Order: sequence, then C-alpha cells, then structure tokens
Amino acid sequence: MRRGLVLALLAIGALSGCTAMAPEYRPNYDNAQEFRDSGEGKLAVGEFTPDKSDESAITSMRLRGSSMESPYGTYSAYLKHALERELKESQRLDPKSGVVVSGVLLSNTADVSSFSVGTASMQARFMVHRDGKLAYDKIHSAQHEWPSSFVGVKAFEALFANYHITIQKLIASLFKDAEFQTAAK
Amino acid sequence: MKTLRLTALLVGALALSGCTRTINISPDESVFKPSAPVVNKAVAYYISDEDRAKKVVTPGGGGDKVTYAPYGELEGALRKVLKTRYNDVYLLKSPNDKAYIAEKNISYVFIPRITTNSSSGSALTWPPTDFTIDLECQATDASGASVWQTRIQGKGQATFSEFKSNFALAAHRAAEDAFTQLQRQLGEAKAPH
Repeated sequence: MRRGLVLALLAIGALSGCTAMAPEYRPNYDNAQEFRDSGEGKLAVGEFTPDKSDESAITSMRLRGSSMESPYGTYSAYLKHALERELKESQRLDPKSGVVVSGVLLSNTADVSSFSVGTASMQARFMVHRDGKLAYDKIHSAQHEWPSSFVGVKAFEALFANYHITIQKLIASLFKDAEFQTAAK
Repeated sequence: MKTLRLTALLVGALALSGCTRTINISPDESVFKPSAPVVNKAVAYYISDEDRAKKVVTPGGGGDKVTYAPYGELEGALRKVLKTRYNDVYLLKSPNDKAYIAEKNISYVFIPRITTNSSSGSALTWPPTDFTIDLECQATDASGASVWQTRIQGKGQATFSEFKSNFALAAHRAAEDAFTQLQRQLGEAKAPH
C-alpha cells in the first residue's frame, strides 16, 4: 500500500545509480577581458594533477545516489582545460611560452542532497615557473551555491547549469591576484 | 492496492508536469568559420551584466516550459562571429567608455538585442520542437554614431528522434542559423569595415 507511494516519491526525489557527464566548461568573458587588460605576457599551461594519486580521494559528490563525471576524463583535466580556455579568450595563451602555469587539485565538491540549495567548491594550488624558476605558488579556493529542487531531475539540471561557475570563480580569484599578474607578465 | 499505485504514479506525474526545465542554448561555435577576408580593425561588443545574467522562460511540450539565459549563452557565438570578421574583439564594460575605446583603438561597437521563443507540437515530451531567436544588432563608431544595424531571425526545429540525445537541439539550430546569418551580413560591403 505504502510501497507505490514511496517508489513514486523516490523517483521524484532521487536519480539513484545514474552517472551523468558534466557539461563542457564555458568561460567567463569578463574574467578573460580583465586578465587581458592586466598585461601582455603569454603563458603556457602545464600539468594539473590531483593532490592524491587517486582523484576520488579529494572529490566529494553528494548527488542523491548518482555521480557526475568530468567531460575531460578527470576533474584535474577539467581545471586545466578551463584555464586554457580562459587564457585563450584573454589572448594570453602560448603553448611555447617559457612562463608555465601548472597546478594541483586539492579538493572538488558538489552537493545536491539539500532540496533547496545546491553547492559546489574547488580548491587548487597554482604555480608559475618562469624559465624553470618558481615565480608564484599559491592556493586559491572558490565556492558557489544555487537554488535546487526536491525533484531529482531538476536538481541535476541546476547542478549542470551551475557547476562550471565554481571553476569560473576559482580562475577569477587567480587572475585578480596581483602577484599572479606580476608573475605572468 | 491498484488504486493507491495509480495514485502514486499520478502524484509523480503531477510533480513533474507543468515544470520549468533548464536547457543551455549555446551552439557549437566551431561551425562559425571565417567566410570573408578579415578586416584589420579592432571592434568591441557590449552586453550589460543584467542582460548576461537574465533568464527567460518559454514554452516546451507536455505543459512544461524551458528556461535559459539568452545573452549569457549566446555571447560566445557573438564573440566567435565577430572574431571571424575582425582582427581583434574586446568586451566593453560600458557602451560609452570613450577612454577604453580610444586606448584600444576600437573602430566599432556592436550591441545585440536578443528575444527568443519556443514551442512544441508534442503533448508527451517537454523539449521544444521549434525555437526562434530574434537578433537585432546595432554597430556604432568610436564617436557613438550609429553606422549599421540589422534584424535577423534564426529558426531551429528538432523531432523526437533527434532531440532524444540533445534536449536543446532546436535552440542550437536556431542559434547556428541566427549567427550564420549575422556572419554572412558582416561580410557584405555595407557592413562596418
């Protein structure tokens, strides 16, 4: 008697066992324009690796029994691709540059367990080497939250529409850092 | 038992019907390839922060609607199309930023106005089968005088068998249509160059 109602409610509230692919990264053109205006030096993007050998050790996804994979293989690769994209839009990307920005992904979280608010966060260590010498080494963090839903499908739609904004905010934090701007000149 | 199961299913259906579903209408920008000689000038475009963040709701199928951010999600296509025609493209924080326009030697400023609509012939599935994008684009010179404007309507359609793997397919096709038309018009003699 109760089972049918419970099953219907579960279908609305959860997407148990589903694996979804996160949407591809969309750059923040404001970020890119501001960084473009801050200098002319070109940067190459080096390796981005997770802090632990297994990226799952630094990833926390509370997605109502489902999971979300990176369209670039790993979330370290997601961050690398996002930075490349922003630098390209800034017209400051040059794979041959002797100024190389690389990073270590320290934590990556997404949480839609709440029926009212979805959240995501990312923390990474960014390093700049200029002709092999360390010129910048700093940790940046970003968080983002958005209205979510009791309905599982709608909670995931909101997650897909908002996850990349967390990365935009992380890169904005990096680009706005005067020490990074100096290292990148 | 049977009545309660049916009630549970109807509760589920009702909870999901009349919903507003989120889609992303950004097209594949790789379709916009250079089609006219590049003009060796710097141009800029302006979209206000309010417009960029604005979300709209238009009809889908089955009583559902769809929501998306027209300016935020089509900005990339506008940038790409301008980059295929002009040597350099900047984003203006204000349409009248004379100092920035002079500093960067910007020749023209493009200001888009975008309205959208959608519909579906299906009573059972929510993704739109028809999507339209009305794109008005005005260009001003460095002094702020209007030098060119155009009005374009992009249309896109998608059937169930097509949008099963891409719920925003009709919108993507409309966006590709609208910005392909803009690209073609920018390559014409009367466009700013």
